[in-house]
Amino acid sequence: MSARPGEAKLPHLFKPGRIGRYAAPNLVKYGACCVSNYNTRDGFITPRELARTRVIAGTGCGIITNQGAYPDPKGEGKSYFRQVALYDDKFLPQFETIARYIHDAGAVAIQQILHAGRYGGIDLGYCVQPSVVPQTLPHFRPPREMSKDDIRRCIGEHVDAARRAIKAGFDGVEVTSFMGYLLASFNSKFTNQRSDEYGGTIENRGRFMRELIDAIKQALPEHPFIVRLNGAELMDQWGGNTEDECFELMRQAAGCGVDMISVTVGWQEAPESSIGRDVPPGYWNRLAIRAKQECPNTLIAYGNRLPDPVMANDCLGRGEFDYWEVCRPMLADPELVHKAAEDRLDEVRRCIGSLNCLSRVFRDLPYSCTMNPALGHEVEPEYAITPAAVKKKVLVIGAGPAGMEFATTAAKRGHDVTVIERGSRIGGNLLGYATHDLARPDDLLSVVRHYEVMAKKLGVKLQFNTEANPKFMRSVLHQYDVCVVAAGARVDLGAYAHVEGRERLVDALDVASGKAKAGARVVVLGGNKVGLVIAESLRKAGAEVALVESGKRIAEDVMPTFKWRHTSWVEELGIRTLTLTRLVRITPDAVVVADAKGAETTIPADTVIAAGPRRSNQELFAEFEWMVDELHGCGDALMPRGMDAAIHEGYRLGVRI
Amino acid sequence: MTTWQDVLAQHAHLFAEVQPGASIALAPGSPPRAQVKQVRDPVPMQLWLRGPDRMAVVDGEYRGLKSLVSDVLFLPEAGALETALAHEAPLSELKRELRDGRMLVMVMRSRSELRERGWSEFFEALGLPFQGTCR
Repeated sequence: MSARPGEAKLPHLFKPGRIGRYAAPNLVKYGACCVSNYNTRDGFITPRELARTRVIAGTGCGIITNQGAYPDPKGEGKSYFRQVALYDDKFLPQFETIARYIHDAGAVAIQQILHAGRYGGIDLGYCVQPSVVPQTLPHFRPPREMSKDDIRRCIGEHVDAARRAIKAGFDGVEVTSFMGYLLASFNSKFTNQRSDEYGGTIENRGRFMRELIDAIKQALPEHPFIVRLNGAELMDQWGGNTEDECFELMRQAAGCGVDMISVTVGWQEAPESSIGRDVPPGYWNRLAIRAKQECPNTLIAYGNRLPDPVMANDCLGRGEFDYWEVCRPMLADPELVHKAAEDRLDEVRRCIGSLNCLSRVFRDLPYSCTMNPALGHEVEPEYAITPAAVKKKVLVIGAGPAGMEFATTAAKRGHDVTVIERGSRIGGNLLGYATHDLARPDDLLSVVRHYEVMAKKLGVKLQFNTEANPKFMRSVLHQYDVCVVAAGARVDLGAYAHVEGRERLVDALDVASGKAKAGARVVVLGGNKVGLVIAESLRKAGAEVALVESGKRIAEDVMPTFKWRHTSWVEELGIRTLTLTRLVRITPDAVVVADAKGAETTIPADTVIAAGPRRSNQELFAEFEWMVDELHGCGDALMPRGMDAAIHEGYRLGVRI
Repeated sequence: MTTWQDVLAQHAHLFAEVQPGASIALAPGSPPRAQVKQVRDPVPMQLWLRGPDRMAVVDGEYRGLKSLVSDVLFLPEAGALETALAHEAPLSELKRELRDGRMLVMVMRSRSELRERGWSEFFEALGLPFQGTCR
């Protein structure tokens, strides 16, 4: 097959690779980044999972790692609600199917074994560890110390699970030893406080890992064996391993003959962020570089917070590591590698690091993706983009994420789509939000850019600076078969109608879009995500900011994985926060608020910004009802929520219309 | 001078659901992680103990993890509790100390037990559920 145009531009990424006796078509490894929670509670793989893995197999990666299975019948290693199991041959038929999918796609098939140790025993009243060291987060089971018999049994269970994976048709096996999982907790001087030959010195702490590697290599000498190890645990304050110790452990693993080390960052309990939107891409690359230097004869795979194939290609070219290990970016866009190969990188839906995937998994829900509404629904034909039986002329009101997701999806199905937008470009309220985002505005702006590119490629017609109202609709009467209202939401200023001094209120969305300017002393009413982003941005720019929230807490509408970020910013920036506090009146130079007991406080304010409550722009539904054959709505126009719901609803309507 | 008893009283709403007998142990020492031992020589600790109608601050002895009956163990570095108390918002300062590693926390019960014992609101206020590297 002749090389595709993008392959020449990314020559290192698309260079053939090798692991053990297996040839890989390129240097991209699909990482088992987190479990899907699509399976049964007792560890069987479901049709939903099989449909998903078929998509994974088709991603075009040279090596594909199937998500981690727990290896023991008791479930001590089980860390996720619907994690797959591999402790018995009864599980094999579905694993065989997955291995076949991967081979049919031309990739090397690797099965991960995940014994969660300290984070395991999800269905039990305990978890197992080298020593009884309680966890530092309130998510887990009380620990039990493993005896030497337990250690021997556990190694045996790993070997049996590895044999089963090979029996199912996988080419190799990966054991994950990062995040604080079992192997990591033996390696760590924080969690391993044993006084026998498995504890104490780093040599002793690494013994469990070395015995495990030896046992699997002896059982399966012809098959590649990969171990995932921390380059940094980020557990320094707990007395965890230093980076030097992490690399000593890597050298131990390499010395035992592992075929590949997958370098990762951080424990679940680490107080520091490692892969979120606030971490710049490439931030952790130094760990992979050092791993390659310390273990030059072992393949190094790496991809933590390295979502960009161009960056990865450059790293590979410089010899910083051997395989780009990637997962989350391919949850967002399973076509990422193909688009790179076909020189269509501008079409990629980027992972924006919202960590919706993990937020859900840690709440025992199936993972989903903000950017990929079809993720997890691959088994449902209703979510597939299929040619429309009747091609329709569609008018979309609003070029925010909901409207644009609908428009591009409908256009892919053959509909003739026109979007009208009051503003002068695509993005809606997301633009203002992104402009003021303290994390990485580029992530959010990538969503806008994606829609700009796709609208152009799909021939979606865009009319900017156009207000949707009954007069406009009358002017286009009978020209459209369908109208979709995706006009978003606004701050409900009517909620302040009874407030003295309300004429001084400024709409948060006007501040976000730059239509209104804030003074030096600002009070923001509403500790929701709109209010927070504005408050943080203004405070960072030097304003004195107070945040007033009538509820118990701020950030209640923020995704759990990012809630901490906002609460930390609020504290770091010194934003005065008053919860359980209501607005009483606004004076010419201040805001008077009252706490739950009615005690009043006066806060000096040059500008008073209303960030909540939010209200859907639903009026158009009533006005347009008799003007068009089909009238639909999606996104915040139905109920104010956020980008995730907007994109998902836009897509669901787009595949159905 | 403000005491921890005052602070707990000021934030009584965070402890409203805490069950009688439930407690948090605070065992200062430097470095904090040195206290992470099954058995150790006794050192003074502070207990935030739920009584019949309010949280009470009680003195106690920390003898290591094995004999600890509290639901949660806070390990502040020497002086960290005093620093927090001197701050205008002591609980906010405690939260900062947790993030900075000046105070460590060890969870002695399962999540469901902690929820049943009424700690959710306090943990939420400290931001504990949202720590973790997968962010």
